[in-house]
Parts: sequence; C-alpha cells; structure tokens
Amino acid sequence: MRRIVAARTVSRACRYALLGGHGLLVLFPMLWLLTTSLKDTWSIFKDPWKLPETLQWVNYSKAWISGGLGWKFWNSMVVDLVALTVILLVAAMAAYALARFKFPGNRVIYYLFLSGMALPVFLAIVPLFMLMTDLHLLNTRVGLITIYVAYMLSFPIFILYGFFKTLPGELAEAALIDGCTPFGVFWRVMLPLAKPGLVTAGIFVFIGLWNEYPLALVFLSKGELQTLPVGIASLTMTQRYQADWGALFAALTISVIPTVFFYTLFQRQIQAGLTAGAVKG
Amino acid sequence: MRRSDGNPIREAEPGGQKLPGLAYLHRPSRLIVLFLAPALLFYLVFYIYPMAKAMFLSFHRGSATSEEFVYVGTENFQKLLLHDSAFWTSLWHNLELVVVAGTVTLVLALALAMALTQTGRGRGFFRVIFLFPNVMPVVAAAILWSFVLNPSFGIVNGLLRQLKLESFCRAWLGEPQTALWAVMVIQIWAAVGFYVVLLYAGILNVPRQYTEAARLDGANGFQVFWHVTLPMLTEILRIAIIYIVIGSANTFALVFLVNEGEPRRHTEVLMTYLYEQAFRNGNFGYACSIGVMTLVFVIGLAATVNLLIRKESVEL
Amino acid sequence: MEVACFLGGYGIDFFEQCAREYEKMHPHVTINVWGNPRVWEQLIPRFASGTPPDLCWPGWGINKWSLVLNGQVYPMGEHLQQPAYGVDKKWIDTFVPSLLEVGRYDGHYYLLPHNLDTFGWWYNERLFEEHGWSPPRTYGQLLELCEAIKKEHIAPVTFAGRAPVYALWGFFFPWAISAGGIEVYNRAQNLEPGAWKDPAFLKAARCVMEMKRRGYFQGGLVGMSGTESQMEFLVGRAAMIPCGSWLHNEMKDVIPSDFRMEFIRGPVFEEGVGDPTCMFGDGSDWLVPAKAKHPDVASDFFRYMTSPDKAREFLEQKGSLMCIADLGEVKVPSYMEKPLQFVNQAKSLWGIEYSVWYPELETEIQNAFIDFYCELLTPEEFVERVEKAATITREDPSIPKFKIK
Repeated sequence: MRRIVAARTVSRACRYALLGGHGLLVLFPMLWLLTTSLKDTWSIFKDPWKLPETLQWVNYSKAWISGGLGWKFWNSMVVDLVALTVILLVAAMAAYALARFKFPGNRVIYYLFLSGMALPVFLAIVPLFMLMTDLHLLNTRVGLITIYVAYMLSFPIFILYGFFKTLPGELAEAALIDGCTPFGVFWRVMLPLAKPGLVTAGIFVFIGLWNEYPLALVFLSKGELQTLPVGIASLTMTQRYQADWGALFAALTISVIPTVFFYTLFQRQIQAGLTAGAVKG
Repeated sequence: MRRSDGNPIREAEPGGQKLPGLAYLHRPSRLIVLFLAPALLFYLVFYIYPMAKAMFLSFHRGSATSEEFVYVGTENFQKLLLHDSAFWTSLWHNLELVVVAGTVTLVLALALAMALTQTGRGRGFFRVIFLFPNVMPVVAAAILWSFVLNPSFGIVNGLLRQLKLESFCRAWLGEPQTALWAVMVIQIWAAVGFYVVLLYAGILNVPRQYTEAARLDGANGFQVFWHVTLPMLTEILRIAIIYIVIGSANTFALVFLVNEGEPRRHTEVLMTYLYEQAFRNGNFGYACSIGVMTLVFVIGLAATVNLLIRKESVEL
Repeated sequence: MEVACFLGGYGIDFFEQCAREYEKMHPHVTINVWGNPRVWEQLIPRFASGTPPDLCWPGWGINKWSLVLNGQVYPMGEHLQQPAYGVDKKWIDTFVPSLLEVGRYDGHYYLLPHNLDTFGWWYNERLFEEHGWSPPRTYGQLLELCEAIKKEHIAPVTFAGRAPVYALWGFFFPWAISAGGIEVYNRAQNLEPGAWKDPAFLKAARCVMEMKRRGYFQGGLVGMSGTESQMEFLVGRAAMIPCGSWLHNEMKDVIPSDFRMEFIRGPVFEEGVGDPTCMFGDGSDWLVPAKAKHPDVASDFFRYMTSPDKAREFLEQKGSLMCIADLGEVKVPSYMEKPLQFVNQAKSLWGIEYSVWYPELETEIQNAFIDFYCELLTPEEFVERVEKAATITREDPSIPKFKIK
C-alpha cells in the first residue's frame, strides 16, 4: 500500500514537474520580453539580467509612432476583417451548395477544395506573383485580400460542410412551403443554424490571417500598407540599423499582446474548434 | 419521426439531399451555380491555376523582368538534382525538421496531454497557457527566440553565465553546428501546444471501461498507457502526423527571420531557398522547379507515413 | 518624379534636402523621395510590373546586373556628356574614373556612384591610451597586441559574424591582397581557373584560423549582427572592430559622449607584396530605370546631387567619402579625417565587383566562410570550396560573365 502511495506521489510530482516545466518554458520568454521592452538600449546590452531601473515607456511610443506600428495594426485589421467576411460568406455558400444538393461533380469539387489544405502555398508563389502583376493588384490591399480568400477557403468549407450536412431537411422544406426562396432558406434558416461552425471557422481564419507572413511579405511589401507581421519583421531589420533595441522589444510585445489576449478570451471555443476539426476529419 | 404525409424524414445524405418534387421559383441548379461560383472563381483563378502554371514554368527560364520565358526542357531539374548542393541541403533540413522536431513535438505533447488528464488542479490554467506560443504570430516567436538566444544579451547565455557555465555559451543561431537544432527548439516550442490540445481530447475519448479493466487486470500506469491508451489514439496520431508532414514543407517564416532574410545554408529549408532563387536572384523558372520538387517531397513523405501507420494498425 | 533610396547609416534626409532645393530651381518639378532599409523588396515588384521609380539606389539585396541585362536600366552615356552643375567640366569628368568604371558594361554606363564607403579597423582610442597600446600596422604586431588585450579580459577583435562580409572585407581579402598583390584578387574576380585557391588566399585563411585558435576573436560573434558587434565595441567588451566608414553614423544615437574611436588601415603582412596603402572602395550604385516616366529629370536631379558642391556638403554633413573627385578643401567631421586621408593616400583601391556580378557565388563564399570560421572546414577545404563554387559559376552558360580590366 505504501509503495503504491509512494509511487503515486512520485508520479504526481513528475507530472507537475513536467507541466510546470513546460509552463515555465512558455511564459518565461514572454515575461522577459515584457520586462526588457521597458529598458533602454544601453542597459539591455550592458546588464541583460537587471530589471529596468526606470520604466522606458517611451519605447512603446517610439515603436508605435516612428516604427509605424499603429499603421501596420490598422492595415492588418482592415485586410483581415474584410478578408474574413468575404471568406466566411463565400465558403458558407459553397459549403451549403455542396452539402445539401446532389449534382454531378459534387464530390470532385469538394475534394478539390479540401486538397487546398494540403498543398504548400509556396509552390504557386511565382506564377501568382506574375498574375497579380498583370492584374495590377501587386502591392494593393485588394490584391492581398483576394489571395487570402483563395488560400483560406478550404478550412471553412470543410467545417461548414460538416455543419450543413447535419442540419435537418424539414426546416428547409417548411421554409420553402412558406414561400421562401431557396436563397432565403440559406440566408434565414440554415446559416443562423450553422453559427457555431461560422464562429469556429471565423476564429481560426482570423488568427491565421492576423499571423500570416509569407504571402503578405511577397504581395504587400509597400511600407505604408504592410500588415503587422511584415511590419514587425522589417522593423527588426530597421532597428538593427538604428540600434534601438528597446523600441524593438516594445514593438514585438505590441505584436504579441493582441492575439494572446484575444485567444485567452475565446480560448474555450478555440480549443473546442481545434479538436472538432481534427476529430471530425 | 415522420412528416405529415407519412414519409420518413431523411437527414441530408452525403452528396446532397434530394428534395421531393416541389415547384420552385428558382431552379436549384441555378442556386448551386450561384453559390459555388464565387468560391470556385477565387480558388481556381488564384490557387489552382498558379499551381498548375508553376509546374509549367518549371520547364522554363525567366525572371520577373524578362519579356518572355524560354523553354529549356528538364534543364532546371537536372541542375537542381545533380548540381545544386543547396537544394539537397535544404531538403535534408526539411526532413530533419519533420522527423526530429516532429517526433519530439509528438512525444512531448503526448506526455503533457497524459499529465494533464491525470491532473486535477491547475488543469485549466495549463491548458490556456500552453497554446500561447501557437497563437502568437510566427514572426513574433521567431524574433523573440532570436533575442532569447542572442549571444550578447539573450537569457540563455545569460543564464549560463550566472551559473558559471560560461564555456557552454554559444551563438546558438549563428554557429552552423547548433543553428538547426536551435531552430528546431523554436519550432517545437511554437507547435507543441496544438498537439497537446489534440491529444488531450483524444485521451479523454478513450472509454473508461478499457483503462479500468486493464488496471483491474493488474497493469500499472505505464502498461495501461502503452497497451490501451496509445492504440486508441492511433487515428488522432495519424492526423497529427499528417499535419506535421504537410506543415513541414511550409516552414518559411521561422528560418527566414532567424537569418534576417539572408541565405544561410546551415539552416536553409526548401521554402527559403525558393524565395531566394525567385526574389533575390530572379530565377523564376528555377524557383518553380524547386516548388515542384517540394511537392514531390511532401507527397512522398505523406505516402510513406500512411504506409507505415497502416502497417501499425493492421498489426494491432 | 520619384526617387527610391536605400535607407542606411546616412539616412535619406540629405536627398530630401536636395530634392527641395532642386524643386526651387525648377518650379514645375515635384520630387517624392522615400527610403527603406530593405528597399529592394519593394523595388522588385515595381520593376516587374513595369512601373519603377524614376531614380533609385536599390541597395545590395537585388541583382542589379540582371536588371541591366534584361534591359531595365537606362544607359546614361549621353547624359554624362552634359556639363556638370557648378563647375566647368563635363559631368562624366567629375567622377573618380575607376569608380565610374564599375558601373560600366558593354560600353554603356548603367550604374552611377554617389558616395563611397571604405573599410578598415576601428579601435577604442581611450582604452588603448589607458593601457599604452599602439594600433598594429603589421600582422606580427597584431598578434602581440591581441595577446596583451586578451590578458585584460577584453576581446581583442569582434565583427559581425552574421554578416561575413565584415570579415571578408575587414581582413580576409586585405590579407590575400597583401600576400599576393591585387592581381591575385582580380584574377579571382575574373573567375580564372584556380584563382581562388591561390596561396595568397590560403595564407589569409590560415591567419584567420590562427587568430581564432589563439582566442583573439570575441566568443559568440558568429551570432552577432552588424549593430550588435558594434554595440559590443561601444560597451567596451571588444577593443577593435573591422567596420566600414559608416560606423559613426550608424551608431550615433548610442555612442557614449566620452567614447573615442580611431580608424586605421587593417594590419598587413610585413613581407607582403601587395600595396600596403590599398584601400577598400565601394561606391553606392544608383540607376535610372529604363521604364522610368521621367528619365531626363531623374538624370538631371542626380547630376545636381553629384555636383562637387553638393558632394562636399554630403561629405561634411554625413562624413561619407564621395566618388566625385576634386572637392578641394573639405571640412570633415573629426572621425572621418583618417578614412579620407587613407583613401586619398591609397595608390590603389579594391572593390567587390564580383559580388554584384555573381550574387550566388557571393552567397556561397559567405556560407563557406561561416563554416570555415566555425572550424567545420580547414583552410585548404575552405579555399577549395570557394574555388568549386567559382568553377560552377564560370561554367554555367546562363550566368553572364564580366571582367575586371
């Protein structure tokens, strides 16, 4: 009996050590980032371990204003929200058509969309670059939004397909009998019922878009229009030229806080969505 | 449940539900087309067409500013596969990232998930913070860790110095011997949370009867895990591995930022090499051939994984 | 009219000032000047879509010669024949001839230089005075000095390990040139067979390894960027740093007020055959795109910027050397006195044309150097690897070849 208790205590200690250890590994760099962002460049280099003597909030204003992070934040908001809306709408329509109607090529089209999740994006980047150039959409927000829509359709279609498939048919029939147009059935009956799917897909797409880097790097590199990830990356290389490490740390903190905060707020949905996506698949 | 006319209500079947004959104001086929058109338009024009064109262009030579592309047959592929050490180095690094970092990620995630399921207190707290690295932009994680690993002011070296272990101090991301491993650490750090959540859900789904029956049979914790829990996780593990494999080819931001956009062969991966060839050197055709080979790599890897896992489940 | 610049240690305020002055002189012209440290990332799409700016300084991240060979750059031959601003000469004659040659191909002038960067070693003057050290002139003196510095627990030499060019320009190439003469280096630039394996390069590599083995290079510098290594120098953890003449400008916001640094030529071999006064000279490359909307205005504006008066101003304001000759009496900032003096005294200048002609070769050389420095390659293996890369470049028919005359 005592051996079992001892074994249990040891195993509990191990468990907490493991969890705590990883927790520390996750949080410590982030805390270090926060504290260092309030130091000035000189003390960052001279005494990396000392806590800041005076809080250099000026780092943040430097990053926001002269680093242009305020603008990049705004750009990301605009591009991502517009793209998100378009993606959800277009994906919902497509998923609805695929899930509730039988027609030749239905399966093929569905798998075609799904395959998008598996293909490496960069394969297409060169011809895409040429295409956007020809359409004069290079370095435009519209261009990037268009690309984001094309590349982020697969996952929402996948999620919403599952939702639409399980919605009972008699609601549609009842609505039709009531004189509703097929489009109205979609808009007023089915779509609201698929709200959880929309929310899940929406959260994922938004986080994915907010953090997206390679496509934004290639297709929206113009200074004023850059999204936040591109802005931060190029800021790192700028600050390195101007040797302002304090502001650099501040900029990085600014970029991390929104998604972490947003995630903490919605973490239950996000966690549920992650597993739903995989378990269903 | 039955409808008013006595016919049973059918759930929507895969492939769509066939609604019994009612007169419509609009034919469903028009609705289908209307609903599918936007998605297909975006997808085909901006995704499928460029992918196909990339394969076409990989047989040509040209740049961003050249007026036309010259057909050169398999010249690009010959040069790539026979003479280009940078390509093979990149490929090898991608493979290392998938196999080593992927394995460590899964093992760590499994361990953490198991620990989570058996823990009462603090479970919620851990579940929340473990995903922090996943939701922050890869850009931020990469830059943060390049600071953490900075030889002058980074905390890793700082910690080593405090512990009087100065000789262990390294330029972790700069030295060829340690650079790729450092990148792997960052990759694992940023990815593991997702797999913890995934496996955690999977473990919770293992029916209690099995684990309890095994315990009654005298199996200890580890044996229960190995013979009961793990086999039931096969499906989820397979999905996780597929995610890892697909994601492996996409590694770009991490390596690109760690090297500050400069080509550094000791951490080069396929996507950064493609970017270098396309946008620094202007070799568009050549870059496309790299893309094609990357696709081959991913497909090959996925097929291998599928084969191996199938063997596993058959043996069970 | 639009001007796109590389935003580096000198900023772009000078160019903006020139723009305002030019606008006053020509009221119907408005000039938009903008800059970015990674300006090439934004220029590539502009060139691709056929809407480039009118004048640009693309920086080092773009293959300029590829642009030239694709017909994307405006040949400046005719414009150069016009009279310069402010002096009684043709524009073409105001430049230092050898620096103008760099941008010439097939008889046409494509790339025009503006300011000149040179490279050398900076040392912590106050630290040296405190310990009674004198800056080294020869390799032998360097070794002795480093030993003394090391005893004081200060790193003798640091450089930006992440940017191997600091090492290549700071000592590897200078030592090869010192050992074998500039001809060895130019043969290598011309990709002659076996040129990169020349004993001069091997000797330089061996010396690098000797310095490393003795611990004279700062630990961890392989992970340092340019500004990081410069910070190490300013903080006092390293005594000497091979760096460009832009050091002061780049770090001006963080240099402590009591810090003094001085510039010297990198130490050379006493018995070396190469010219000991030889200095590194790299002019900035400006070009007018072929598809520019206003090539004439762009050319004229650049002519204004490169007039001896404006050049003198740039030198005095920014402390940068210029590619324009005969500037007469100039009042340089104190930290530029030595660089200017050395460049004026130099019997010859050496440049890095090959890295602009063959960017892939340059990438391979940089990567090989990192591996060599981290002792994954012996000096012999290092030069062998570079030679192999040069051979591949030479034998690749799709890469256009250039020659140093």
